[in-house]
Amino acid sequence: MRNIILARLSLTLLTALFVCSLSSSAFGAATIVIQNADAAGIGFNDTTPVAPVGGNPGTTLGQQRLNAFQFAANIWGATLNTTTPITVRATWEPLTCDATSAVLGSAGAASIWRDFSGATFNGTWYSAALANALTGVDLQTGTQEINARFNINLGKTGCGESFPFYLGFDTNHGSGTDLVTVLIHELSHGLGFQTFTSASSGTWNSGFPSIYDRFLFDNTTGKTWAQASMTDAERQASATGVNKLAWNGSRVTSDLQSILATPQLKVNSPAGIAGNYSVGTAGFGAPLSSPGVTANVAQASPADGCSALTNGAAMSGKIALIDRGACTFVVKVKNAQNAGAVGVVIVNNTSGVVQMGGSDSTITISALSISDTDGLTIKSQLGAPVNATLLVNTAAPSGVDTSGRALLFSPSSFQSGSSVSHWDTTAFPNQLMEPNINGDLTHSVVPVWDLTWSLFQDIGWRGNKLGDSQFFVRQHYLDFLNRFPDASGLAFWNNQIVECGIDQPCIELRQINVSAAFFLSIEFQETGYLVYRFYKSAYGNIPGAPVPVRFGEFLPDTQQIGQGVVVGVGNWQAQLEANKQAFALAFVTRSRFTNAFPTSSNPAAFVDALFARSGVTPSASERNAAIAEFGSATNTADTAARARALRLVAENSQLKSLEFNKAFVLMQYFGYLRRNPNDPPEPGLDFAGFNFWLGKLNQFNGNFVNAEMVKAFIVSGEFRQRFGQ
Amino acid sequence: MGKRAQKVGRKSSRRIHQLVLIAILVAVFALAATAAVSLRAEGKQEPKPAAKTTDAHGNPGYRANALMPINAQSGQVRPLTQEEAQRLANGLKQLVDQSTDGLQQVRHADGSVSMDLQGRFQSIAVAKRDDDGTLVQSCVDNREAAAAFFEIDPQLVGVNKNASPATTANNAAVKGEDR
Repeated sequence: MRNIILARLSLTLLTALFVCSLSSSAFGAATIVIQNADAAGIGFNDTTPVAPVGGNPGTTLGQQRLNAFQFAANIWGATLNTTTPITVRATWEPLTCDATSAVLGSAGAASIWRDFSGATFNGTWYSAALANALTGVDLQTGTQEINARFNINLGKTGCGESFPFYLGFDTNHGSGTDLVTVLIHELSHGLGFQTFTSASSGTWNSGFPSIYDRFLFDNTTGKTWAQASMTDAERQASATGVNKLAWNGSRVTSDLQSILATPQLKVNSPAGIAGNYSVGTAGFGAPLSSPGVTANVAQASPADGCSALTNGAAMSGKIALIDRGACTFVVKVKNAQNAGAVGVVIVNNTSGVVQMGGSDSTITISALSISDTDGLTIKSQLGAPVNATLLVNTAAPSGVDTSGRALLFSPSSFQSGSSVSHWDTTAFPNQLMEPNINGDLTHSVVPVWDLTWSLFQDIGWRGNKLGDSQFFVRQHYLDFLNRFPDASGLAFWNNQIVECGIDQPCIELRQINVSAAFFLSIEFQETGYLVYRFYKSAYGNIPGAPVPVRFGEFLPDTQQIGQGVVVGVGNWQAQLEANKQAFALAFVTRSRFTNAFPTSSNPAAFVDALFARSGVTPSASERNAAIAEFGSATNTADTAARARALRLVAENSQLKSLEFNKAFVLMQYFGYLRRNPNDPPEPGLDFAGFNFWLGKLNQFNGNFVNAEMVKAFIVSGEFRQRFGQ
Repeated sequence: MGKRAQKVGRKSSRRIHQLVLIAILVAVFALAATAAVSLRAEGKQEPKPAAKTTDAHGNPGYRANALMPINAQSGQVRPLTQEEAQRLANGLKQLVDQSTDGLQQVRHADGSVSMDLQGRFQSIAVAKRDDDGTLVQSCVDNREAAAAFFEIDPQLVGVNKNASPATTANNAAVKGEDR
């Protein structure tokens, strides 16, 4: 009995040791509290029964409103890192509106602070939430950091009747107003995406600049708004100087390279008109891609494309050229798609390009618009083939100045949305913090989708991109499958997490399951895990180690087998088979293998050695099949046969089962930590951690959830530090 | 191979139970993973992101004309009356306020200084239907921009005549038309 107790105690201590060595933070890094300041029966307390919508499980209007607020707050809560809770004092009030226009709501910092302990700059205003995060304490307990007021009447008769708030979490807002997106945008202002200097007058607030001003750079005068040498008049001028005002924070400047791009129409031929043309983009259809869609251009008939195209034969496989006017863009593009076009170029009926709105989920081709003069240029050449590409140029960020800094929105005179606290509207793809709250925004706030988190880092926020579920999923594609995610796969796995809404235990469990799914996927089992088994079959375990392969060997080999393979897309099986054959052939010609297996040995000895190293006792038929690869040869000089025999052993079903848990644990180190189990910073630089987790996984019969193995790795400080603090 | 793994390998009957459980897990996740890590497998309908009935990447433009109040004669969305514009402006003035008049700086014992913004310096989300029915949403933080968005006289929201002129050109910042 005593031994049992000691053994249990020992196990508990070991668990604590290894969990502690891996874990330093939980999933959420900041707590954002929505303080319901509404009176009974009003706003958040409205008891009107409603049906759950878009993942929002609330059954009263008030509860759904509160859930939407909390959902938006949690997006930032999962990303920011602060020990001080952030309180948002929120109310629903009758705000100004009429039938066709309305104030949706407002938000912003409740107070500002300067010269506190931990401030990165003295004499500089910070929003209360950021000041608390930097100093590590609540500078003013009992008060909110952010105020938020939203329009209680929106959607009612006489108040924005046709664009009520959509309270779902899934962005499926239709013709309504996506409250969550609006909230994320406005909360971002409250968290620090704003200046407290007057853009209208250029005057600092009470004689002090804001932390935001330290990165507002006038690229004409070469001054930032925080510089005392910059006059109020100069600030005022830069707030209304087209392309004059840029963000010079290093994080934004670096991150925008992976976020912003330029949509283009590239005419490839004839040479006389070849080149890149400025375009407007479409808010529907397939997103532009790189390298894009290339085809010959054909004029639609009728030219305006407003009815079924009569020249379908000429249109099939072509990029349709269609004139603007007489009907909506989606009608034109759908007609072209129905006629077999692979893309559409809309020719504007005025100078410049038009950003094309509308929606039709059945449109699956891409569309662009060009100016009337560019349209005439192309039309004049249609007597002969005109070849063009619709693409997004990822090498040319949009919305930046000539030095590659992100531009703030500073049109020549104040316009709707004019504010130095927004990105310029030329940014592509649309950014959360542009003045227009565009209908296509996702709820991601981090690179590679959005620059908001990057700006927050510049002004001093600390946190972690892993809190963003879409980023979390994307990283698994990179770490386990060695490729970028396909759009639908990314959306599917992201939705597995997002559909938990504000249910935190559900989110944590889904993160674990989604994470494990990448190891368990056929794509990984047939690439990474196969590489593991090649090494196991060829060499057994590394001397003195419980594993057969090191990370430095594993990664390039896995990339080689997985090259061009996306399970479920195209003829992936043929590609995978070709890759396996090529890999096996290359593997057996490596000097390590030829040294280990001299060609003078006979086939039976060769095969027996492979099975012995794999730890598998083959059936007679399995053994004979491998030997038979050599035919009647008495030696193993046949390289192709060596490759085939090795592959038969590596793909043996017993081996797959036998090594499954060990490979699962090893891939935790390779995938998440990008290192060997005994590499620094592993305590002891040995396999104690690996053996511990293998023991736990075996103890729980492979149940990784109950063993808490995947969870321990994905919340570990070592993993999270790859993506933030 | 590690000692424990060898031991486990020998105990095949126990292993079968383990494998059954593992197989169930593997099956569940592999099925999901196969089908969804890389979707588009032929014939399979996977859960997709909520179908966007609005924009995919460029616009606030979508139509919903049914509830729009229109001018009975012209059939167009009518401009605001002076009274409506004034009422709108009154509401905006309170919301869009970047004045520091009357705001107090408070020095604390630790040397830090705070300022309660009294509800000023807020960012305001606004929306409207344009003449062609397009819904436009934006965010403003100053009176000039707010007036420009709603196409009302900037002076109604307290903008000095001599201040930077606010354009009344409709929605230069707006990204989207649908025809």
